[in-house]
Amino acid sequence: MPTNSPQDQTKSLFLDNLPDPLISERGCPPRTRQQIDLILLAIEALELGGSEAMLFAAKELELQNIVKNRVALWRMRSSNPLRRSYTRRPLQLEEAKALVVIASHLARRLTVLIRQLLLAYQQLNEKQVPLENHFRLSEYLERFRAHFRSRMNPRRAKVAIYNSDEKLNELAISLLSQLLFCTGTSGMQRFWSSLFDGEVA
Amino acid sequence: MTIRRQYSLPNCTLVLEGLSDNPPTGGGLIDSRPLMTILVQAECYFSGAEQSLKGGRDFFESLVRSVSRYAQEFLSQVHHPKLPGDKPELVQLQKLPDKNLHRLILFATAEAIPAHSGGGMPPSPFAGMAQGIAGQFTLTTVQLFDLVEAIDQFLADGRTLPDLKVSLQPVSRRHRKADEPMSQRAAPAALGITGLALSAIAFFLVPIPRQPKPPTPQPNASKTTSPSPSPGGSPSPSASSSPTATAKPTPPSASDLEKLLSSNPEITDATQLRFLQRRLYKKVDENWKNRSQLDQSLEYRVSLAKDGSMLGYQPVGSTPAEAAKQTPLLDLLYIPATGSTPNNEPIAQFRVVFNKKGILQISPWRGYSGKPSLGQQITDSAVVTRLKEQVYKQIRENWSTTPTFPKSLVYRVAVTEEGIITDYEEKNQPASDYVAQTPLEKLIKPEAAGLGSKETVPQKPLAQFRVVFKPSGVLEVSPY
Repeated sequence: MPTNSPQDQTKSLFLDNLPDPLISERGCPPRTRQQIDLILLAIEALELGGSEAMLFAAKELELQNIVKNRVALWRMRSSNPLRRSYTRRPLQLEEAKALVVIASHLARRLTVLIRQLLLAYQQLNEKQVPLENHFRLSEYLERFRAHFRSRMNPRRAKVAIYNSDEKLNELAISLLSQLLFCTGTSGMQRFWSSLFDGEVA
Repeated sequence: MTIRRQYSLPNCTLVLEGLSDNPPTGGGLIDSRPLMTILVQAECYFSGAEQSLKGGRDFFESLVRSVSRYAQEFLSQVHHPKLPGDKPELVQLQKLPDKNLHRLILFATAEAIPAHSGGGMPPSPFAGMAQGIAGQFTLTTVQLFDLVEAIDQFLADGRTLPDLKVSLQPVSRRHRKADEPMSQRAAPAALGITGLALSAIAFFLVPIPRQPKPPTPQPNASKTTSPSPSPGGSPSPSASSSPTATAKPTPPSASDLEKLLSSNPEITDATQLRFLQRRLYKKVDENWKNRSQLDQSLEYRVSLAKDGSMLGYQPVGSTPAEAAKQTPLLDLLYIPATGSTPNNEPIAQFRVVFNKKGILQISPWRGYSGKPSLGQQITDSAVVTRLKEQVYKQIRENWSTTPTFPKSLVYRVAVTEEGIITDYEEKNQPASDYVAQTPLEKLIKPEAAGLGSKETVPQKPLAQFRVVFKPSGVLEVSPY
């Protein structure tokens, strides 16, 4: 996305890249909130200090008036209905956009790692070798499982279905593939648009 | 002049060959990247595949549309349906059972791939429909992504076929499939209905609470001999002061109470209520013995005068009248001097619960109308610093026992300007359990703040400190 605009317009430009979907005014639908938080969770599992990176990215991308600080970020992410800390707080479109911009930005930096892990996964799968044999991949999966279990509310039906390591691994890989798509030229727009599939009027 | 554009990704290379229909006008700079407006051939190579995928404009348009749509389906897991008016696509993508593999199919057309030789003519539109499969590829997710990325790079390239665009649109919720099978979705509802039914049954079994009889300043309950009215004839707000000689107190009649409540103003000031509540708690808590002997929780509505004396109490809900014997309420009841008449003394009402687990709970009957304050405060920082030293010294000198409590005890301690400790409040559970191990009770002099038999809210400004007794024997004093 080549942008030659002056710095002061950057903020609105980043967000303007993402169109407003036709949803009700009460904020983003639950699936959108859930997916955004999960994709951020996958980033945290990929990169130690992922949440720091998100705050730093918010600053770099001049989104700090939306993602002001750690608490603001946590509150936005707690709009994911699967979370233990789910607050029934709505997630405004602008906030969702900011999180998607940050996620895509971080995903792009992690492109090489994401590709490596997906290729490794595919090879291990073909050869029927357990995933634990790949150090970096098993590290990602393990961290993802730990993050997921510590933050999601197991009493929710949608969380309860991820009751085994295998199912969580599957989710982790599926999120990793989504992250790969986010790294692309129009990845951010594609991811954004997919968040509202089946949600718009 | 043929224009060639190549978009290379590790697993996929897209090569477009075409022409420009508006050749560069003479005299201008030679355009290093002439505008490609006509597509002659599009070819797509996948790493590891011998066969390539190629075709003309229709093929390429179909490829762009299908790949774009499939990418979104892949991201959202929501199927994008074909609209009735859509032509069958030449290129189609399908999910495979292994979620990380995708099948790309190229359907053959009646017309062969237009083999053109530089006539500048756009390839003629396909007349025929797709017939049979001309090529088939199984792509991994990474290969699929590279194909999407090659196409996105092409779409972002303003110098190549700028008329070919793709719009990213979420699909309508009409096309959303249910996330879970019906049985799973019905389960929570069924559970909810069962729960509702169960709770309905449970509530049916609960007795209907009796109309709470108003609290009573209970002079007719008088053991006329026992209580000595406080000197100065502190207010006796009894409505029906008809002290009888009966030895046994009887609960006041509801009408007496109502009379009292209607004739006397109620204390609603949050600060005052809070101080009264703490005083009441302390008194009742100290005097409540045999805590383990309750076989049900007992709940009372208790009325206090402004000076904290208990004017009356009334069992609430299913609390039996005779159960009061098990509580210290009767002993604490203030019996006014004979003949004292009700006056307009304001009263405060509290809900007092003797939990059958031995826990005492007290709250204002009508809740707090605002945020209770701690009364007037000393804010001069120099004074506060001096007082902090004094408090530390006083407590340190008087705290000689070896701590046996497991956790830090946290208190709020109020001090007058002269450094006299007038009040303290437990701020955590261990603090109330182990208060006997601290010298606080010994040190406090409520009179110094004007707290006494008549006043429950401090009359002088106080400084508040947070005092922490640590199991290690360390004492910490900090501004509250």
